[in-house]
Amino acid sequence: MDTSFRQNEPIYLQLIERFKLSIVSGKLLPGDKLRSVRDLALWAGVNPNTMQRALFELERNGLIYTQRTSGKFVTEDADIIGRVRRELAEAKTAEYLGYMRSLGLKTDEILLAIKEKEEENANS
Amino acid sequence: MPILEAKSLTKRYGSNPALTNVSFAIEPGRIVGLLGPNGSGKTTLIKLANGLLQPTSGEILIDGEKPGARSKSLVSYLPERINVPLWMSAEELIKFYSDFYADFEPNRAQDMLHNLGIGEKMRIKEMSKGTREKVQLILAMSRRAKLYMLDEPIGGVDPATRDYILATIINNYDPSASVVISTHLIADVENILDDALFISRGEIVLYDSVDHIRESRGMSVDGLFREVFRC
Amino acid sequence: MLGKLIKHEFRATGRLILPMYAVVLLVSLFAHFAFRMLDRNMPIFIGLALYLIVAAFFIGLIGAFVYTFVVMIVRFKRNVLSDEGYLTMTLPASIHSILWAKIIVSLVWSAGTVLVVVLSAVIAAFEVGWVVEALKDLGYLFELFFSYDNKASVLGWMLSIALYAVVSGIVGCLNVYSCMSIGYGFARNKVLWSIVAYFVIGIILGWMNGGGLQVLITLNENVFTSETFNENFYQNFTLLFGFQFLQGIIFYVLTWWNLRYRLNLE
Repeated sequence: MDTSFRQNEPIYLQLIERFKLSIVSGKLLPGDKLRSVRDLALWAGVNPNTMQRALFELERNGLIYTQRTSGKFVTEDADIIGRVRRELAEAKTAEYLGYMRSLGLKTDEILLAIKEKEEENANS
Repeated sequence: MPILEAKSLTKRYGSNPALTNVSFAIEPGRIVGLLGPNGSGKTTLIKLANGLLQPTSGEILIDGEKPGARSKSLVSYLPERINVPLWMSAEELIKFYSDFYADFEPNRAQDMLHNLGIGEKMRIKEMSKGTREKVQLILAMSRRAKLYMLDEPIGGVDPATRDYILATIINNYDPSASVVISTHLIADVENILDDALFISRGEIVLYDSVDHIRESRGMSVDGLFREVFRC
Repeated sequence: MLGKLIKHEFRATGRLILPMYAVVLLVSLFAHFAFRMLDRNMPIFIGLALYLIVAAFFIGLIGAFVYTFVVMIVRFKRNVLSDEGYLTMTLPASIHSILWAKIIVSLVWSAGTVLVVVLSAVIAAFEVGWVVEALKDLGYLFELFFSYDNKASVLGWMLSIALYAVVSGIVGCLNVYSCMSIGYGFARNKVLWSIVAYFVIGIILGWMNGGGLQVLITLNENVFTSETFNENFYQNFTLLFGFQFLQGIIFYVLTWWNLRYRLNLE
């Protein structure tokens, strides 16, 4: 059971984020069938209502869809997945930029830092 | 209709107040944490709901009725103590529960015992304290009750057992039933709660959804609990 | 629900009572032979063993009643007033059914103990000369008694006595239950308070009984000389019976009220 949720944020929001990451990163593939709410709740160690709420939000955003008889599936719409990927990237970038700015770095310095890290990673 | 409702509920032992003017309502389908330090009135509240105590004033209603034979058929109660006869075996207890509770599902109890490797022929008195508690939990959760009242189910158990208990609660979740879990170990149960009911010195100090607490205060229920009950 | 409660009550107490019956009957079988061998010449240690068996037999007869009584008390304490009470008192049954299941089962075991004691006495004494004589005397006594020109028939007598025994059994049982339910309503010294309740109730009932007798005697001064008692048998019986019944109701209400409003499980 995974209980490593952040303390200061509603759990369903963190669940949504985890699902988005899994879908964008390909851990969950387009058309994959999701397990039942109960199973997912057990797997995440959360209340089934919380899991239900997360799935409801995901469905509203078009990332998953329900087939009346057979359950919930990951969307096969590449546009939606792409959009979510951009959203996640934007959010993370904004967060990163905010942090770097708070350190006192300017845009060109930030870009340089990224470039240096990339080269270091490539060499190792 | 709320599955559990308290209206101006007051209970005094002699002149000592245990609960003072408590009012709340729990709707079906919720998992509610009854959270408070030791001696705050959690057990008194649960005993009142189970008809083991009578209110001094006000009332407590189960599915709209005062505690009695009918309400007891709707409520599955897991007390803090070992309440099953020690001379009985797990198998005999399953028969006992099937006899008295129309909503008891023996197959589920047998499955859960089997999964934990607890022999059905074993007598309760031959079991360790931890095993006894698990058997009692299994019996309580094998009912299809409208309301489960679990008094300190994770007090003093090891982390693996705690996970097993929480998983059992999630696994048996039923949208038409509610679960009330009393505990002072909030961090352990927080993730499976819908709502938190804070009780302090016999009074309700907060009743809110866990999501809303986190959203509006930017802290976990455990964090809030520590703040509210700071010594 | 009452049926289920009774069934379970029998199962829970039978496992304690039935082995006792077996032991008492077995000892009476030994006593049967011991009685026969007592008057013969025996080495001292065998003689001693025989006396021990006979002593065990008599102790067993009394012990059977004491044991039955203790089982009843301990069962009530364990099943209702201690940890098991959390289960018993949250069964989907009324306090009335829970109480009646216990009363009925206690009554049956008490009757069972009387039967077993009589049976074991018969086993032990079978064909022992003086017992046969004594039984004959008892029969004669009965004959003498019913030879009075009386209004009560033998059957009427028997039924009345049986009914009276049942009611007194229930009242005796409720007497103990009510005292325990009072004592265990206290937060501390539960056993002590139960005993105090027993004596206080005993004293109050003593007064009431005295008053009751006074009433009987006022109604008819010769009430207890056997001839007139017999003449007015049904009238007097009804009074005695009614008095027991009244006590029973008081004990019942006390027990019920204390279990409902003063139950204080730790």
